Amino acid sequence: MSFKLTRRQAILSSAAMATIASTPSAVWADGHGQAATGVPYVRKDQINNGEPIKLEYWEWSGQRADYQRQWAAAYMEMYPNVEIEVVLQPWASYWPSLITNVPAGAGPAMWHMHASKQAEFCGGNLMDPIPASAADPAYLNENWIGYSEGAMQCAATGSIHTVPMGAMMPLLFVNLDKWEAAGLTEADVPNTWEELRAVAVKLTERDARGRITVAGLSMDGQEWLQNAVYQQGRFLFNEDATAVQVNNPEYRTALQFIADLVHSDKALDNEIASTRHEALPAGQAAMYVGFSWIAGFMRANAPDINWSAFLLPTPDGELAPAYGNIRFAIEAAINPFADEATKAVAWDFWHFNYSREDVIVEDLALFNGFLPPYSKVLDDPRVTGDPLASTMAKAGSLGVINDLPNVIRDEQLELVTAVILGQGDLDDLLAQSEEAQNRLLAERADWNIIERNYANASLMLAGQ
Amino acid sequence: MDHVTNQSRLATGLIWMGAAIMFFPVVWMLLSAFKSPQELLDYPPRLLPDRWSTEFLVYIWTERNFGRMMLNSVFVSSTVTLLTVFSSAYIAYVFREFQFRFRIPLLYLVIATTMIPLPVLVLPHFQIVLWLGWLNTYQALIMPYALWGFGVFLMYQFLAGFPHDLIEAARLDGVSERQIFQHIVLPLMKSPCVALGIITFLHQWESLLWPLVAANSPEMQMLPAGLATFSGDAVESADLFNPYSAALIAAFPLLIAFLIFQRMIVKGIAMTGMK
Amino acid sequence: MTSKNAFIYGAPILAGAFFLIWYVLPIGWVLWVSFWDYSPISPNNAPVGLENYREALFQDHVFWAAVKNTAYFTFGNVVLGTIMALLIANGLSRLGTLRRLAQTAYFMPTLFSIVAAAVVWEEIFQPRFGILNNGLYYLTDSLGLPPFPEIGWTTTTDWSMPTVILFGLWKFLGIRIIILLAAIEAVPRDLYEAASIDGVTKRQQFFHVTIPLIKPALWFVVIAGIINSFQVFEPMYVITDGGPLRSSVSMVMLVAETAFERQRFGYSAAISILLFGMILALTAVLFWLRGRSEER
Repeated sequence: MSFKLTRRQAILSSAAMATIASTPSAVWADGHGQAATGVPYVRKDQINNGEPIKLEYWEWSGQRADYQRQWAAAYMEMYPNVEIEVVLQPWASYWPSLITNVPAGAGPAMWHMHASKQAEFCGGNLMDPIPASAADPAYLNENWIGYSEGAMQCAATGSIHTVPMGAMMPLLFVNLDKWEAAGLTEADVPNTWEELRAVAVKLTERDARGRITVAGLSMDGQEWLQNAVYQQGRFLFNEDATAVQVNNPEYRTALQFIADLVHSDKALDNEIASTRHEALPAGQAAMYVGFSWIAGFMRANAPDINWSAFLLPTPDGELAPAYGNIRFAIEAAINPFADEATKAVAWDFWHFNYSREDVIVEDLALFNGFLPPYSKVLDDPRVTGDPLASTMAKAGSLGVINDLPNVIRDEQLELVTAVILGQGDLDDLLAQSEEAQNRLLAERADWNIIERNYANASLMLAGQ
Repeated sequence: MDHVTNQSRLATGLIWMGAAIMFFPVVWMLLSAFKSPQELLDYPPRLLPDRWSTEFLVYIWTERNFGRMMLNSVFVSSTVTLLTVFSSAYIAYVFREFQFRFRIPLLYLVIATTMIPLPVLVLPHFQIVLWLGWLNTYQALIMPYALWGFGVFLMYQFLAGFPHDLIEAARLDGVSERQIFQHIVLPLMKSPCVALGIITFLHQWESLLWPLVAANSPEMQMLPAGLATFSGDAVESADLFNPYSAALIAAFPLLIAFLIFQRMIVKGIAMTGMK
Repeated sequence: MTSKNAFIYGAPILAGAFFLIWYVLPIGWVLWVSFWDYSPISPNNAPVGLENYREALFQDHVFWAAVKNTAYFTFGNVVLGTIMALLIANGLSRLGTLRRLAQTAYFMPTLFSIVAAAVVWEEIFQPRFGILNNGLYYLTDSLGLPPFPEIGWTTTTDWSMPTVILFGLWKFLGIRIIILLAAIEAVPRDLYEAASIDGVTKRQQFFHVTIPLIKPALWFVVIAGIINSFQVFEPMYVITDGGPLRSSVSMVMLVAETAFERQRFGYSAAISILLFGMILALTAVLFWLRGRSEER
């Protein structure tokens, strides 16, 4: 299960990307590999009656905007009367801007969505439902991840508006240079939490003043917590998702692991933990537990670090009852208040993009560090040959699909921070956090909490 | 006597030490802006860059439409500043100089508006801009900030110690009220005008939320939006960036403007000193 | 005569119209919304009476943490900031050579956009790898002093507020110095000359000549400082993000977060109204104090 995703491989995969980018659109227009939404994309003689039309497409990530601009270029080559502009907008004001502008009949024709905002956008009817001309819901349900699990629909209406980018799973990222320097080999790759702690101790480096300069293990505490609770067979919410389950032994054990790592093993401290995912590319953490998008982050920010990713260790080394949480990022949504002509072109562009297997494999999934969302491309050689994707595929069926409400995520992170700072008794903290989380959960009734749809729910603890 | 000299030497030394502390982050930013993103992560940190790299600066400037953003930022910020400074000076002067109905309640109202936190005004302001049909226009960016209670307060406060006999003399000479304001009062208000101008310009220069709510099209984008796309807060985004380069680009026009403004500040101060 | 009237009445009409449209009506809306469970995109907006206020005052401990932090910041920023600005402005006014250079250094932070400045300071404050702790350690170590400890500027609940205040001092000192320096320069020179002929020391001059004569400017710096500090937002937002464990969350930060992250515009409006009330009360007291000090 060990592999190296070295710098060379990263370059190789970006070379593959470049090939895709330079492929002329003729390849896409013949219908080959272009029926991924269940409705084959057929090139039209003209669109919008050949009249000039301009669309805006919003994105917050500069890296994704690069390939979206290539989609737009390919589309505009087919239909020269169309102009699609990909606009980078900052995350900090992206959502306030959409939430005010879209209902007012303004804002962009389409924008990259985020799963954590789905409930609000569903509630306000701020996304156009997918038309039959662009995708077949039954086909999506059968061949794409997320639909049958209920992750893609608006909770109240059951309508669908987007496709997923892919499955994002937690992994153990390892700095191989530090690993080798500590005299560790492939045999030392941890499978259990105990092994993980032992390796973390060996990997920790200190300066002359005794301060940790390289933490053996760091993590996004919220992500650790969520995965560790699932791994022990505990769901985060009660059966009808009206309350959280926090004050319980599984949560306690998950937090105790961090407390031990920080306060007894001294393999991590608050200073490193607070830098979150920057610790790994900065060489300040030898191992890091995070979601797979970290791979893209490493490729961009730490080309000189030799790193690899492994499956997350579990309490006892077994993947069952659950490996952890699967999250997904979701793709473009279309402005329901745009005029009909704009919407028609936007949906045609949408259809053109997501019907292409190449786009799904290369851009949506592998580039971003996700497992492709479309089952028919899972045995594509590009996927099976991708170390990250093939690792994730091993645990895919044991991932609990769910995206937490952002307010709950923030509270979980607070809880972990309190443990790392050693503030307060663990039992008190759990009780307080449960109360706070429940209060925040009650503020909205329409969160799409779908963890109970987990395919292997029978393996989880009974009677919870 | 010696004792006094030592004391004043100590004071001078402290002033310079303080100046050095104030200035250090600026130097640190300037130097770090030329480091590569990887070098920023080096430990222990070093003052000078290993290799002076301008790649990221060039990338921001060329690939991210910064020319247009800079133009928008300069235009909107300057317009707001001019409007704010002149209307505040005018209103404050009239409120100081003349008696009319509702003078005091109006004045208190204006000052009270400075106590409203701006984030809550975003939503009602958006509604007004929508009614006026101003979405995606410069006036949507400019008008809500064309006047500022704080500006009126600043000017009103300054005018407390204004040499009134000058005005009276001009009045006796038959100079019109508008001309008195324009030719006698305004030149003497230069120093608070510059101070208010700086604060107003800065506020506009760094405003992020309102521009994106009121005018979000690519043609209307302003500098903070461009810089904030490099923010580390962005979720699931792996953009490579050096925050210092971004900070330098944001600060650069102001540093230039500062060289111009500084003369005006000193002059303004000297002028008030003459009364 | 009509042109005179136009000049005079232009001002209240301009001020009245502008503040009515952009402030009075919006704040009226905010007040109204504070009695609602409201979000611009929610289909289920409903009036809730005083519930939002009850929640803030009697249930939400984060609200009270924010009140405390805001007061703490205001105290630090206004008291320390005003004293420092006064001393520095006084020092600068006496500086002969290279005064422009020193002035430039003190004014520079004012001109930095706060987000850019906070980005730089965030890196400087980084406890383990940042230049501040390491520089101070290097300094104390090489001078043979007891080594400087690692202070968790941004990462511990004890230090997050002092760190934000330090940043605030750096950022907001310049504009105060501008205002106070202008006032000090405006004090007639002959008053000092007369004082030194009478054998009054520099220190006595500062307390008995300078301070009484720049009182209006001082009051302005204090009042404006309090009003602005109560609305502090960016320093926390950029340097500590309100953390760790909400130890540096400010009221305006809470207002923005409640509205735009939690979509609770009604609750956000209620917090704004409470904040507005606090600033209003405080300012009223200050104006009253100023009025009394002017009578004397």
